[in-house]
Amino acid sequence: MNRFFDFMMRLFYIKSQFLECNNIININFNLINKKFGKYGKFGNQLFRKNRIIYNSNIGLNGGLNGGLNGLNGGLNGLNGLNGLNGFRFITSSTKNNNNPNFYMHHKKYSAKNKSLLMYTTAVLIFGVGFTYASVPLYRMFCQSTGFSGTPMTDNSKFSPDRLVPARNSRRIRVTFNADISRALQWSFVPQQLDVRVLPGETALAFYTAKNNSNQDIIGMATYNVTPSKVAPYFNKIQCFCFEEQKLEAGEEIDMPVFFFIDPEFFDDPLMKDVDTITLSYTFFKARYDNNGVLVPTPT
Amino acid sequence: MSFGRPPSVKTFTTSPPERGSFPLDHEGECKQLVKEYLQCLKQNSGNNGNCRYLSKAYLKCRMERGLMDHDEMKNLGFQDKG
Repeated sequence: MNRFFDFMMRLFYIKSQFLECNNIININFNLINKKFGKYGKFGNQLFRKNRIIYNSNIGLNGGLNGGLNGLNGGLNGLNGLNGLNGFRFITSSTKNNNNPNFYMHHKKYSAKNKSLLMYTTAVLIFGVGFTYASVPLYRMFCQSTGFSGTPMTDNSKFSPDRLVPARNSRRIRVTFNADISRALQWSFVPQQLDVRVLPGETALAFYTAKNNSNQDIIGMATYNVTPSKVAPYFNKIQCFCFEEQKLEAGEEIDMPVFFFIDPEFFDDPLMKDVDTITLSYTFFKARYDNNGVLVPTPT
Repeated sequence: MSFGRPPSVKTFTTSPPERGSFPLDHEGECKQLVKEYLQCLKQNSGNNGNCRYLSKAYLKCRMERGLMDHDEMKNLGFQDKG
């Protein structure tokens, strides 16, 4: 405790030296004198304790100011506590008391500690801000890369300037395949053998589905594109996949697919050997269960 | 689908169509145009370039009957010239 008060007094002393305001020491000495009595007689006297010289030569002028300055002095001291270097003048060693370097050390370490505080605060704020920002950032990342199955709804592929046929290239042959799950009593066939398209040229293709049973059946289709490497270039504008298609008993319906091959297909050297693309649709049976949820029927 | 497959294996990932699904033409209102288009394809051995005017007509038919959202033809890839 003595050391603590040594330290506090030293700070106030230093502070008062800086501000040329020695009022503070008055107040503190009064208090401490009463409590501890270690600091000798107070007054306009120089006195010593533990080889620390406390200079007090002011009366009680500006007592309130002095109290506030004391607060400042205390806060300055707290700054010093932050860094390890600050401990240098917490010890009761009094060697550096009259040393002019003492002041410089204090200033240097106080500056370092201030910068350390700034950096720490900045890191904290950055961390908190990052956790808040991570939610929309992750969402953006998922949408642009389709990570973990996020549907890519990027419409820039379908801008009108990309839908221009590339005149100078060969025609790619697109063949069609149709499959049905065994549980589905439909017949599902493509209506054309193949379509030869230029990249960038939008094309229409038809499938016909007929419900051969005597009940209304809901079907859902998925598709597949072969060879797999072409898949990024095969863009469907509109089709009949992934949504329920209800056919009444005995009904026959044409199902169109409107698609195009991305013009950048020809810039890709990996696509050089691709002349035929196969688009394959498979229909599955689905029904609404008791909760109104569409569930597939396994084969 | 499967984890740990070699990177050379190119997998296929489905993507949704831009405009979703075509509403079903239950009444067969545009069926005639379908027939014409398929006929044209057969005659041209699948060459899409010659039959595009028919697909344009089919899509227009769908739009008029409310079986497709209205949109400009150039957004669907049909430029005014060819």
